[in-house]
Amino acid sequence: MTDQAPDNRNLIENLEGLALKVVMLEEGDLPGLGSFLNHLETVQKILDAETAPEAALLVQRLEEVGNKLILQELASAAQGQELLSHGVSLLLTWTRENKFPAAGEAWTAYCRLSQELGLGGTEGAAESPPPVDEEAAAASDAETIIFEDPELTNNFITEAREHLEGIESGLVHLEQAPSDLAAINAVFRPFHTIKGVAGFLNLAQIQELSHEVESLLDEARAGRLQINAATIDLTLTAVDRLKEMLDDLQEALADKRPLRIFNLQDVMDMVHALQSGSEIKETPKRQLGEILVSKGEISDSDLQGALKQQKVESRPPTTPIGEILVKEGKVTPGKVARALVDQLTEEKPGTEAAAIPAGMEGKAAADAQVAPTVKIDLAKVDNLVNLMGELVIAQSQVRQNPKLMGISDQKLERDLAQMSRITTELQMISMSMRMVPIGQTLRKMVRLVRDLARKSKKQVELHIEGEETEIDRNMVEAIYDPLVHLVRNAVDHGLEPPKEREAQGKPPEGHLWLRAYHKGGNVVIDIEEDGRGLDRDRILAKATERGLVQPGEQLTTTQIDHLIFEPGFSTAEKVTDISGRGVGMDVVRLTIEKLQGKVEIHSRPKEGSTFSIRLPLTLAIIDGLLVKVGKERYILPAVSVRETLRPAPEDYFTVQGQGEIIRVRNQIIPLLRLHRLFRTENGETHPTKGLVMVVEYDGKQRGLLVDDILGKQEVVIKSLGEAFQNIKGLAGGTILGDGRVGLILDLSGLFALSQT
Amino acid sequence: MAQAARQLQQENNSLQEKEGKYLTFTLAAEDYGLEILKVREIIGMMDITAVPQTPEYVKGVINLRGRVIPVIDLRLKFGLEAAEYGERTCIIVVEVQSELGPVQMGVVVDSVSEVLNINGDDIEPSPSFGTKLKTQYILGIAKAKGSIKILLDIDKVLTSEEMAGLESLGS
Repeated sequence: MTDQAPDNRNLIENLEGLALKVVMLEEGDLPGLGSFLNHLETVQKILDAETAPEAALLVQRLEEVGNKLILQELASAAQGQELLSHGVSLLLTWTRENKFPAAGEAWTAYCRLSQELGLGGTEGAAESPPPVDEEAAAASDAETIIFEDPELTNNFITEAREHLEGIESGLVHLEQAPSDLAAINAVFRPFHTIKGVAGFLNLAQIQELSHEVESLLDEARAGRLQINAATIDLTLTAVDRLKEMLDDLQEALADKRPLRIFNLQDVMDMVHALQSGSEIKETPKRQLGEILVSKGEISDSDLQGALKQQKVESRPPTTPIGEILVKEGKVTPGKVARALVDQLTEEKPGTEAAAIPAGMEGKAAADAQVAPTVKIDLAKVDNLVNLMGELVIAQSQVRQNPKLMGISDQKLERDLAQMSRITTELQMISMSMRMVPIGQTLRKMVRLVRDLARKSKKQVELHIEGEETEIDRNMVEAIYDPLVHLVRNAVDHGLEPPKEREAQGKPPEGHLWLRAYHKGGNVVIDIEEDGRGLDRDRILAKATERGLVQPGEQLTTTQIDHLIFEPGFSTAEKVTDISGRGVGMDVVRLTIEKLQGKVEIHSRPKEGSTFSIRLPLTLAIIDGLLVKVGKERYILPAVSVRETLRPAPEDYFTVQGQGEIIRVRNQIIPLLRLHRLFRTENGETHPTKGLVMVVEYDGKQRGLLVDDILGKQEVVIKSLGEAFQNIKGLAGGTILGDGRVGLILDLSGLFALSQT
Repeated sequence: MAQAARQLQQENNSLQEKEGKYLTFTLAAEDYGLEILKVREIIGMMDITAVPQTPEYVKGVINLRGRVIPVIDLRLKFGLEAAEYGERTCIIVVEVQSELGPVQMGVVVDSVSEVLNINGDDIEPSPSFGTKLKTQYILGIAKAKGSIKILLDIDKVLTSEEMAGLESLGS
């Protein structure tokens, strides 16, 4: 231990390069290993053996491991790489702190691994510095790095979360096809990535856990472990645990507090239990010797000789044939290495590719489709969309300028038309930047369905369609909760247990479809199951009991179905863990309606039900009718306007001098006066002089009395800010053509207001 | 005794912290100041869209380069007599801290005067006027240029609760 640092900055730079190389290493990536070793040599030159003997020793050891990796002499290549990355991070820590050697997690893990691999275990133990408080050391390492570079850590959190989601849906697929190598790989790779980056960031616990799971999956990849329900469950548990750790990491980052230490022992134990129970199955590989012979590097007799030698030396044979051949001078190490690469690449078509021919095509196609992307701060996009809206308005103001309109010049006309085309297109593009595919949200349901099916002991097959359907980013989060609710209901109430299904002549496994598509300027999400359908008798009985329906009242089937959206309505016979608490469906409807959407039910007894959520493409724009009330102007969502009329005097009635109703054909519709609800001045007083707009919301119709309709236009919805967000009857504001703010009406609020 | 001294010391400290540049403006015959760091811009009077179900002092919303921001009339807010908007009437756009982060709002004032540098020594805590006048909006009273300026704690004047909390009045 010395204060004299060996050219510290240069060393750190080199070590960082080294760490990056280790993280990027793929199994069997010999060129990568080679460049790693070259780099290691540079480091070795910088490191003065005298000032930092421990470090120099470590570098030497890493070199050995690297050599062995190339020669494939290690029982597990993954573990060898692990060892390299541990070693490098250890070196980095030492150099950063200018302390040789530092005690801690990395060193211990390094020694443990190196023992497992049988690489001079005794040496490792002897060199092992006195174990200081491991956890503290690990935690302090982690903190320095994550707080030094919060952006990197944040990226890691986001990416790791995406990976975990991918793992979840991959696992569910894997459960159905346990021996599908492509599926195992799809789960294995993200774990590998998480582990790598976590190691780089010194997030010891995340790295440890993902490493354990990764090595378990590695066994499965090698065919030594059969994927079964227990493996899947365990992996899901690990995923949950990793999620918790990521949450903790994020909080820690925000609060600048130390990381929580998680107890991972239970998961670890389970992993080890599974691993020890794994059967060892040899994977068929072409022998290294054969490859060398076929390449003409050695003769057949050389090989036979070496094989004999191998048998003589040890029994069972442990010295790799490559090493013997090199020792005997029959072949150069480089040629052995190349043959090993061949062996590895040959291995792939033999096992992996054969198992995934169908998947490969799709994947290749998907790869081809992925266009290069950049990540942009959402606030910037929002800003752009806002400004684009402004540009469109400014442009229309220019066009409508009376002086300009007075000029009759063809060129000016053409240029103005060109400008308006460009602005419109720009606006479309900026809007589309905020659109994201709905797939991610739908895929989140995969895990949910699986868990629900297990809990309720049902067999459910989930089909997701239309993942690429695009939806406004701001809407994605808002629809998540309603979607979860509907999916829960579908599994819990909709689908029957297998026995009941069989009794009805249906296949035992139920089907659940999540379908997203565009239809008529809307995004539609269907949640369809082939279960028992809504039990209308029971719904009606319940509604009558709750006083929602008068006994003897005649309702259409659709009306009965929609009763389940009434507050406090639940027909589940017993309250289950999953659903049936009687809250929810009303909230679902409310949430969707707040998003200017609708939920519809189509239910067929004994055949199943479909819940359709219909949403506008974007929350940012609505088709509005601009109406005038007194001196104010309001915008009414065009989608909810049924018709506009001026009632004849004989169709207008008052009730007790207060309530007002109009008759439209044979329907009686209550009349609302906006100026009365909003207390604005000078609204048109008599319905026969103004206009009545018949609007519908929540299945109820009302007539809205306005002075006049000023026009129909698409408007960009803007928030009124938190100060006004709770004002009943207003959905937001927009900038009108003259630059003033116009208020957008919210019918649910208006209807509620009229009832107070 | 010692405690009283410490308290005085603390008060002094907090008054010292209030030292800095203030934008001064007039309301009726009174002079007010608000921290320059809170001011985003000063704009002339423009069309305000009234928002229903809000207290009288909430004049409504305006379009500030594509953003919709609320505007309140400080005269009405402080219970002063309403005045016709004239040539010199201005909207000061300020950025206030809310629970959800910074929010921009406009305040209507009779006229904007100047930017003044106010020394900590010239600031005194607001005297108590008994129950009939709330002083929670006041940072302190500053003596400057032979008159006094009322320094406003604009964050407190424009809390969302103040604006939305009274919404029940309307419905």
